[in-house]
Amino acid sequence: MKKPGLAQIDPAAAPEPHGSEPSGVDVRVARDVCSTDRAAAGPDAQPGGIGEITAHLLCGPGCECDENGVPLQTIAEQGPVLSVRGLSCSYGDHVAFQNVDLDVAKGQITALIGPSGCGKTSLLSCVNRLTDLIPGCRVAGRIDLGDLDVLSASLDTVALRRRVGMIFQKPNPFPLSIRRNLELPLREHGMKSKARRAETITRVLRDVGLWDEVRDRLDELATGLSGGQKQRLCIARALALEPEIILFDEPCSALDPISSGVVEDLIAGLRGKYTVVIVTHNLAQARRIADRVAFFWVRNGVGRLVEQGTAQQIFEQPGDELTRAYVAGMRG
Amino acid sequence: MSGRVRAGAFGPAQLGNGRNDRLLAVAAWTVPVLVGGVFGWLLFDLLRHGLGGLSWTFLTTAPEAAGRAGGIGPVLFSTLLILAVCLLAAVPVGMLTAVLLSGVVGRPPSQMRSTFLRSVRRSLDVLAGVPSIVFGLFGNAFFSIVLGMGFSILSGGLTLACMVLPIFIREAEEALRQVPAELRLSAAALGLSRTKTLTSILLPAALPGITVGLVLGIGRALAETAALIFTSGYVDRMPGSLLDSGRSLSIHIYDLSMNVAGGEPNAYATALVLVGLLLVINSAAASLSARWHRRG
Repeated sequence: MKKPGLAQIDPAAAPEPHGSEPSGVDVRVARDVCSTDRAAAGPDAQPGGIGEITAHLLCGPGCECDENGVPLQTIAEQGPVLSVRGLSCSYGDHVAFQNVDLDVAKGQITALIGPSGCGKTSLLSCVNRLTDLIPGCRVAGRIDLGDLDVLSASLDTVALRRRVGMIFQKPNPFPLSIRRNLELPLREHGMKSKARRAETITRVLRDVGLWDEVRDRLDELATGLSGGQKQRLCIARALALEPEIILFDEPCSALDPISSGVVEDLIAGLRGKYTVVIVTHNLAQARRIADRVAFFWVRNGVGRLVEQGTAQQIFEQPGDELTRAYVAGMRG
Repeated sequence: MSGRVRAGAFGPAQLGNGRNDRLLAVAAWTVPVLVGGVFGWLLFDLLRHGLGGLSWTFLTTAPEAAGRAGGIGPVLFSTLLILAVCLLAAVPVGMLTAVLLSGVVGRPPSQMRSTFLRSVRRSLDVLAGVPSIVFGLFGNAFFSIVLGMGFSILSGGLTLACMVLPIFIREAEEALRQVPAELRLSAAALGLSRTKTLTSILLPAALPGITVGLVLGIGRALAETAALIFTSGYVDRMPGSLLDSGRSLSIHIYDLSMNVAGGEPNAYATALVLVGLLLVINSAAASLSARWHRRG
């Protein structure tokens, strides 16, 4: 069987900021004029579901409309790129989280917030099946990434992880040179041409703003970089594979404030080009960069998803008392 | 008495504290000096008695008069052959076992598999403590007699491999375990295959530790006499093939000092060669591992 290699991917097929509708229909023509009416979001719109994002997108601060008020992009028609249904995860006897339903919309930044130990990181690990590597970890429920049944036993996890990038809390470049760090995954996924690899490496290093800092020392050990540079290298390494979705697990919490700001801006800049899910303990950060927020809380030692919605909803008009107390800094 | 108690929660500092600190400092310096001193004295003694007998002719010519005269050429050659056989057998088998035991590749083991792995680990620990003479008898029975290799360099090298394996495996396993789990996870998250993760990331990262295991193993192999007397034999002629008997340096030293009257000067010179060989292998392994690690 032929492995889907990067070399076979048309660069034009990479996610674009606006309107890469699978149907090929020009959204600008097919769509009603921007309105606050939820009906504009399509018949499938449900409260708190994807439809609401659309409504928000059409009329809220993040509204993407042309001069006539015609939306350039909506999410509702494409459906969520990642959908989680009734997901539970446990380690031995300890239940990390239970019964989580979550939708992640294409091209948006979804932040998972909540106190420590409520299963946010575990949820990320379920999405790229890193849970397979954790002894005693059991996952139940359903995760769909596009048309892929992520939890299927017969799934090729290598192919899945090619589509799902992940950045960890602690920057963890391999103890190899900067170049080898980026080359290794590219070669592994079938990019055979040396010139194309070099081109990709330059491009992703530029994307993360690292090119000017490291262009003269690509062959030096990546472990010699500063914390923020290491984390940006890890992001570049993930971007090089052109994933559909990137999971960030508290990417800034191990960094100093300045590096943290640089990395945060970088993540905010991925909006529209990539779908981003970010776990953060920094509420201000979630507020600054997230389109959508999901709030987790621990009840009886078990993590649960309390509420999800647009960032504006969660921070300004939360539906749950617990959410209100948490975002106001009174709990957690 | 109560008049001496000062205000505040602490009272006067205990008088003994400073004395204890000094005592600890003295102890902490004495022990290393003693250990270093013993090694220095040993080396000095070897050099004093052995250096005179050492020459290029000594290293290359065959022993004469049961070793009283002549050199150690064939003995040195046999030793290196035995060592090569030992390493060629022990390193691949040991690495594969260490990878399996460390569990750094693939999914976490099932209940049954982890019970099995635990018993393998325990067996290795027991084997590491088994006296070498027992390995010698086993090697004689299994390699020399059952497999028909007779007294030969091959059977000696393989017996040594059995002896070296437990130490090497546990060291290599530990080195692989020490590689931070995040590296493994991030490799998996990038969709790297298990083989690629192992060869490109885990093994290079664990290399310094694996080298330590290897050097310890080589040390044990070079120092061995009991296991070799029954397997590789003690013929001091130049071996024609791996199936010939060959005498190792340590057996030569043993023979010269115990069985040959007047063999002591050459025993000293041979011991000096053996220690020198160990030092060379040790530092070569250390610098190779460092260079490999730097290359990235």
